[in-house]
Amino acid sequence: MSSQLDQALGVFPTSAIVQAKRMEVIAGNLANSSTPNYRAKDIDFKQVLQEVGSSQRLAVTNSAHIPNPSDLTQTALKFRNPLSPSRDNNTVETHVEEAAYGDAAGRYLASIRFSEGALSDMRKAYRGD
Amino acid sequence: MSLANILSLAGGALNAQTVRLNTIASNIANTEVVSSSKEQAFRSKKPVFATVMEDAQAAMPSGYGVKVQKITESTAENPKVYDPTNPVADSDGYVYHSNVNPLEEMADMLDASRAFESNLTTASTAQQLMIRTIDMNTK
Repeated sequence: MSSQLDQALGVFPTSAIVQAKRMEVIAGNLANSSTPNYRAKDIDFKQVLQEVGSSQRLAVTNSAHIPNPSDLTQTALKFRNPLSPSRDNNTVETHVEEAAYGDAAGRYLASIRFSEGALSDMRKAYRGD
Repeated sequence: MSLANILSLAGGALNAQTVRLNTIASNIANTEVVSSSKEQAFRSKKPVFATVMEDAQAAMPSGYGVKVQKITESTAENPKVYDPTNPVADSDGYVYHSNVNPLEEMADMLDASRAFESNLTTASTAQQLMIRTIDMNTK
């Protein structure tokens, strides 16, 4: 990320992408709440952020290349530890997943709002008013 | 885009839960059915769900949807009742009732309808966020 726009937006576009991905994973958990042997998954957001900060990602060889955001969430996908075991080995706990989905949706919206703030500031700067 | 995938994931789940609700309705409707032989007697039906990869080609499969893998029949014994006046009674005067347990079906129905609702909420939240994202900086 090198352009002026990317610098102004900071971490928020990446954060929105990761939270959207997280929502998708959790929606998959909720869809499989009655599937035998299904194991609930979630994305470890902390780990994703660490990877963004470190050099573990694939190097971008040209400044015009756009890094693939889905690479970020690949290693951070983890199985959730269920609070109580179930007879069919399904580890989806609907209330936990619904709370996590709400959390991800809220964080996604926050990222969008912060990006909007940065964009409108830039617009003001360009217009000069 | 991830948010759009949620809609198809939730849609698949709604489909699967509808199949489940359908089999429950059919089971409850056939609770009182009697037959003249053990083979013909009604058996309670139940769908088995399986996970399906929506996008198996991608490096990280983006979503884990659900589909109905098969519909199984209950192996519980069909109650054999002596009822010689019944027109479908066999030569010994016995009829075979369905093996549907209405209590079990009602509990299953509640679970199916809760799952349906939670997937519907998932889809509607994703849709609202999509609209909000498209409307970025228009205000």
